Amino acid sequence: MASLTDIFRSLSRPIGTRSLSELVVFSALCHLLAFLATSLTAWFFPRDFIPFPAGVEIVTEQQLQQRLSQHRTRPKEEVTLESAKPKEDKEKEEKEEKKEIKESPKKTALKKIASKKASPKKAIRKTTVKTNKKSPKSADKSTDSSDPIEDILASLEEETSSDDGQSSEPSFDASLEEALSEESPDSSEPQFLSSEQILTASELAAFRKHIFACWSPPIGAPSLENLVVDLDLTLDENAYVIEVRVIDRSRMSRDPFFRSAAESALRTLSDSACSPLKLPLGKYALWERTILRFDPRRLFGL
Amino acid sequence: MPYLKSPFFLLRLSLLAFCAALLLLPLASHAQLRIDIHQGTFRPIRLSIPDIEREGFSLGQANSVRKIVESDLGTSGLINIIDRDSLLYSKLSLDMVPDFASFRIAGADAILSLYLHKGKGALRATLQIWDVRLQRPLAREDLDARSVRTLAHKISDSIYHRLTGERGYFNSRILYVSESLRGKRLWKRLAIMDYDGANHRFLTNQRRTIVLNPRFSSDGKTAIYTALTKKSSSIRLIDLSRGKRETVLPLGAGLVYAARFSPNGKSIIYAQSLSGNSEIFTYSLSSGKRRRLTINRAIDTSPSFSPDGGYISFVSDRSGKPQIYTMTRRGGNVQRVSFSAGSFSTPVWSPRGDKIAFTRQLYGRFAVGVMDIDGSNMRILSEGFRVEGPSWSPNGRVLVFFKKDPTPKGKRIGRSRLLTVDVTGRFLRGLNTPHNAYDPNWSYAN
Repeated sequence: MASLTDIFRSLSRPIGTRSLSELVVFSALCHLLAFLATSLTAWFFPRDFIPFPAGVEIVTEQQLQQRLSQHRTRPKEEVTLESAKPKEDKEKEEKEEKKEIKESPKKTALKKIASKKASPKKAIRKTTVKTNKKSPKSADKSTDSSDPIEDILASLEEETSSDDGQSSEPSFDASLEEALSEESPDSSEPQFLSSEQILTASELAAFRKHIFACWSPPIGAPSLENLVVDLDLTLDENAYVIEVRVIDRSRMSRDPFFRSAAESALRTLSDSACSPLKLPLGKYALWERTILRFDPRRLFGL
Repeated sequence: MPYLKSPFFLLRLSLLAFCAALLLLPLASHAQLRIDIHQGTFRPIRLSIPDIEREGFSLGQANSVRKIVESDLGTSGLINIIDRDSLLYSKLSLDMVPDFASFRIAGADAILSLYLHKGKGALRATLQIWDVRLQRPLAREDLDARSVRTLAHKISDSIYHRLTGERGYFNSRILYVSESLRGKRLWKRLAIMDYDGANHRFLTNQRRTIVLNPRFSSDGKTAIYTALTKKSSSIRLIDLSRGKRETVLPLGAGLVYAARFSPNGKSIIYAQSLSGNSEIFTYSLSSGKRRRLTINRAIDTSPSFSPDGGYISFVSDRSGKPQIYTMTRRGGNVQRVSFSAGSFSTPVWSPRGDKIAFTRQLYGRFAVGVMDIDGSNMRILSEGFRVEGPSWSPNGRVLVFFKKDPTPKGKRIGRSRLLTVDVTGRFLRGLNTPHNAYDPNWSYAN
């Protein structure tokens, strides 16, 4: 039996000079290493982990503060606010828009956030929160009369510095990340998916319930454990099936039971009652390519 | 350690690392969403049969073919025939691509295009099956037969096979014991018919002989049955292809019964009672040799071969009550497979090899059911005053058995009829026989 030292030593020798037992043990060692690496990887990463989604940038709190301060020092015209636009400034606005296009994506993203935060209703609410005793009318006046950007930034500062974190509004970090991911697609820094980027349990349940009505499973067929059909779907943005492929297609020609099961699954997707599929349209990127597994085993208690 | 500094070592180590990285690459790639569907709603496949094209067939013959095909497929439970009146276009020639949209509106999943014609002394049919949803042809086949009924059954078999993946069982026959009153005496005769009750005829007509346990050979060309007279019992072999020619098998003294063919048809297995103790034997039809498989004080009976001929299921009361056991074809490795309450009898191995059908008697009631070959997943398919004697359809999907009602007051015998049920227990239907029917056995027609 070759020892571990012998195995390592054999690495420096040509293959032809190794004994059979060395080769066998070496091969077993390689398989063991590969298995351990696979197990560790599977254990470490969450199930729905996508390692490198494009266009997402991590921004630390310090970087955020710096960007905010840079933003504050800019001339006021740089940020536009729909509610605070004087009617006579349309020409000026057009010029600014042209300027904005030339600006860097990050700056545009910041503007986008600012414009989001500064929508009239939200601005009013923020002011009301800040000065609890103010009447709605005075709040309206304050938003109309004062500089909206200053108000928004002040409220943003307050939000970012506050520790309670119980606000029902989306956090600034999240908004910033969202905007940056939209505006700077070239960013290559890795980022984990947020909970909004996976299908929720209720969305999955709704999808399944929809499909259940259309799938006629192969009843009474022998060896149901061998009749699990995987379909590879490509869907359009409205959840209509553009392309569908039976993954184990070669088996269709040699196993008539599997062929019938696969055809039954394919008919499910072409059923008008199940087309388009019931998927959350806002999460298209997530289900654009989907594998549907039609599994009759649990249906018959196997 | 000097080998660590060797350039070969470093080179190979880096090669190993590269291979490991390649191995891990798929894990790091973009994960594709996968959704499992594990519930469904069973719905039969809806088949549309437009007008049949014919050449050399009369309208009556074409209509007979349609009627038989519709009956075969409709009673299978897996395929429903769509009413012809709901079709916008009732004509569809063989080489024409159907207007799928109109068939879809009619609710069809599949279309059968059929052309009947005559050639070289046989009736012929060319069929084409289309999938409406997938909008493509599924199969095209040429069939021939000597009679309209056989041709129609073959068409049904072909459609059934293509749509379900399972071999059809419509071109098949059932052998059973017919019981009627002749004066004051019970008259038990061997009878044979198509699986749907057509072409019924009697094979025996002895008045003083009781016939029991008729069984087909695997090719359906011969059959065996037990004949009981006042003085003796015997196992008789009938050559069905040459018309009722009988041979009495020389199996020695004692009561012989419950005989079945081995899957290759070269031997039979049966039970023989010697001095009150029933044991299981095999008998070679070619060499005439007998072989005893069980040696036990208990009653061992009702043997049945597995489809590969490697194992035998049988009933024994060696545990105190009749239960189902299995053993190898030479009688070794005996294992008990049924452990439920009640008495078990008539185990029959499925042609698929995955299940054993049985009769169970519990608290005075009978039931017919199936279990896996290790005794698990036991499922009762039909229960009643007396339901008994299951036999598998040749494709292993359906069971035929008999159901006897209690004898009404003032009558000598109660009604007994044949029923079929599929392995899911969903589709139960009765078969028409002229008299009371018992102990059926099912085989493909040859």
